[in-house]
Amino acid sequence: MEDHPKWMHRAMDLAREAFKNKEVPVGCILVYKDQELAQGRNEVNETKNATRHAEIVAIEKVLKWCDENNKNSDEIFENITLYVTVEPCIMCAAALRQMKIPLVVYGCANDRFGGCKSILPVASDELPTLGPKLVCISGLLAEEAVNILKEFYKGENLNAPEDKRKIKPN
Amino acid sequence: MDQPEPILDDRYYQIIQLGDFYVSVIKDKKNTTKVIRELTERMPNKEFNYLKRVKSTNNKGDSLQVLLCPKDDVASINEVTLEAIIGEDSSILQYLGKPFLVKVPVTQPLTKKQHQEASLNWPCTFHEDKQITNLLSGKYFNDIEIEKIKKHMLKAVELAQISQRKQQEPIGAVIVDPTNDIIISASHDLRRGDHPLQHAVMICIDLVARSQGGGMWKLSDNDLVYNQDINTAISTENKTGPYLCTGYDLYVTQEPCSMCAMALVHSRINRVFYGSSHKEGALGSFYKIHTQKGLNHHYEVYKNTLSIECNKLYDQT
Ligand SMILES: [Zn+2]
Ligand SMILES: [Zn+2]
Repeated sequence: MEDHPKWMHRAMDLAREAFKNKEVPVGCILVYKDQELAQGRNEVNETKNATRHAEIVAIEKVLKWCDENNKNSDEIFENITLYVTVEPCIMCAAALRQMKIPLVVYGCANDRFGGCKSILPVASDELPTLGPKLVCISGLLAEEAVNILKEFYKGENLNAPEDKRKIKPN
Repeated sequence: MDQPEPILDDRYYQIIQLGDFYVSVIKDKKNTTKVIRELTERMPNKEFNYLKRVKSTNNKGDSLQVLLCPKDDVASINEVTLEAIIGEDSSILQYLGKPFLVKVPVTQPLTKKQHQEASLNWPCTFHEDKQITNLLSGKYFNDIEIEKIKKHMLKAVELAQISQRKQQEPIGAVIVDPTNDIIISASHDLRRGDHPLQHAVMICIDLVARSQGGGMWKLSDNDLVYNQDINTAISTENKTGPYLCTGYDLYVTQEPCSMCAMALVHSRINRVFYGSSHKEGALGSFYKIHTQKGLNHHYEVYKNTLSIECNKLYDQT
């Protein structure tokens, strides 16, 4: 049985933790059969690679876990649910399909980059080569997710070019 | 090599749509100025400001039609009269004939071709964007540029062939700084290994990060290269140094997927040249992520670059 609220609260705890550490307040966990396999956080700044979003980092942790525990990664990913406080971006939505992750539960919409519905419905469009469609459940703890992002970017000009900002969002 | 073909936003290719507008005849052309002045004030039709106010309906110009407003704007009026459209207090009613409907272009013409098409129905203003005209001309790149593009794409093809020999997807990618023609990174696909997300483009982006002292994958393979001198080379003239893929061009043998196309948005790439199209590709075939509304970065895309050589990789000859 999947307990969406329980895992979403856990993701939100991670977002708060990130906020305290002055990091982008997005929480992201991958859950396999009611077991937390990996968390991810945005690692764009330290890697100088703009693709190091929390989801990608978490996926790689699961790949490593499978390798270390001699698990068939296909079987694992096909039974994973992603819990993330903000809608995955277009890149991450496409990555989740390629990993054959079937389900994402997220909090608030991502108006700038969203790949489930906000900018482009990459998660559900007819793209068989990319991978199976990704089912998206939205709105869990959405208000908290928005508020913590707003709080984080308070005083910062969101229209400033990204390279002029202190920290880059997901 | 043929000219790489630019992939512009759909707006530049769309057929001009027509819609119903009310017009009226100016009875005596000496009142034209007065009529135009008052109509512009009362009904500016801002959304359609590319439509000229007046159309001369024969060569001598002695029969003038003047644009009133879109049919939809007066949809709630039962009996459409001049008074109802312009207003009873108007001083120009006496100069105009009974209003009637005509078809006018309701999409703004952005190219010469669209302007010609639109003007068949109603005269339109057109501010030519020289860049767009050049891009659509089929001879945008000069011979020197073509040679450079060819050279870099050949390198990508070479990498795709190496990839093929390693039982990987035959996709190669090269990222170049066009200001000095130096290769920043070069890669081939590795998705069939133990990391399904290691597409040639994703690896190439990570190798750029490595050239800047970052990077995540730390892949060691002699066929995957990055320019290790880039930091020192840049730091002498530019204190801030390179930022992600800003200003760089990507050459890739096959049209990128949605993940890679969006990764290039996040990475601020400048231009993308690709060889073969892919039915689910995100830069022209399925999506146009490089011109997608709402995104904070857009980039130029050219397809059919060295297409014969690239198509051979994918059996599309
Ligand atoms: Zn993302
Ligand atoms: Zn890709």
